[in-house]
Amino acid sequence: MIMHPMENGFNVDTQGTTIPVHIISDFVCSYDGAEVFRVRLEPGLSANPYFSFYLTATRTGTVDFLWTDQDGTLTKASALLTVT
Amino acid sequence: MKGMKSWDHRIGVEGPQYRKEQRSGMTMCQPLLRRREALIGMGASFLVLSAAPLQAWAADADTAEAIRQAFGDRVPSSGRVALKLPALAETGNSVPLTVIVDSPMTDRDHVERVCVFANRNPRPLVATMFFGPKSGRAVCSTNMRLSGTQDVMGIAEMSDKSLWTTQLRVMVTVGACDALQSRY
Repeated sequence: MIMHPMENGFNVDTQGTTIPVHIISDFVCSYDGAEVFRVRLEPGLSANPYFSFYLTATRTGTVDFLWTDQDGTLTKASALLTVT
Repeated sequence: MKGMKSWDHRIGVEGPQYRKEQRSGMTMCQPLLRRREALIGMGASFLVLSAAPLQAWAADADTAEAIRQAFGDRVPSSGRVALKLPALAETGNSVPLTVIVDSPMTDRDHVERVCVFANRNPRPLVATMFFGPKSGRAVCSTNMRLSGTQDVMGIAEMSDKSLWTTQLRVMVTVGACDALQSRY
C-alpha cells in the first residue's frame, strides 16, 4: 500500500481548473531478486492504492516492493522473509 | 421609524399595500411567470445534468477498443476468472475488488496477466496484473473506482495464451466522477 492521491484527471479544484492526472504507474514485488508480481496501474484505481497477493515462499530472502510514479519517482520498501 | 430595519419597514408600512397589490388582477400573471421561469430553469439544469455524465462515460466501443489494445482480436472464453465485488457500492471512489483465477500456477501452466475493465468508466482499463509461477495463487485484491452502475470485466491470459473472462454488474449509488471536490 502506498499513500498517493492517484489523481484521475477528471477532478476540478476550487478554482474550477482540472487537476492533471497524477498516478503511480507501476508496482513491482520481487522476492529474492526475482519478480513475483507486477501491476500496471491506471487512473481507475482508488487513491492510496493497495494490493494484496500471494507469493510462494521457498527460502529466506528479502521481499522488495517498488512503486514507480508517472514522473519517474521511485518508492521502495523491503522486508525480510524468513523461511525455517 | 427610528430603529426599524428595512424589512420591518416593509411588513409594517409597505406590507399591506404590497398585499393589496397582489390581490388586484395585475398579479395574476406573476405565478405564471414564475412557473415559466422555473420550467426554463428545470430545462437548463436537465441539459447540464444530462451532458455531464455523457462526457465522463465511455461507450461500448471505447471498452472494445481498450480490450483490443490489450489482447488483440482474440476472443476470450467464459470461465476460470472470478471477480469479487459488492453488488451495491455506495460510493464509486473506492470499491473493493478481488480477482481470482482458477489455475495451478505451475511453471508450465500459470496465469500471465489479468486485465480489469469497467465498461462505463472514462478510461475502461482499470489495472493490469502480471502473475508468475512464483505468485503461488492467482489472487489479487485492490480498490477500484467506478463512475456509475456498470459491468466490470476481468480477462485473464494464461501461459498457453488462452483467454478467459467473466463479467459482473455493480450498482453504484454515487459515482467516482460526481462531486469529487470533497473527496479528501
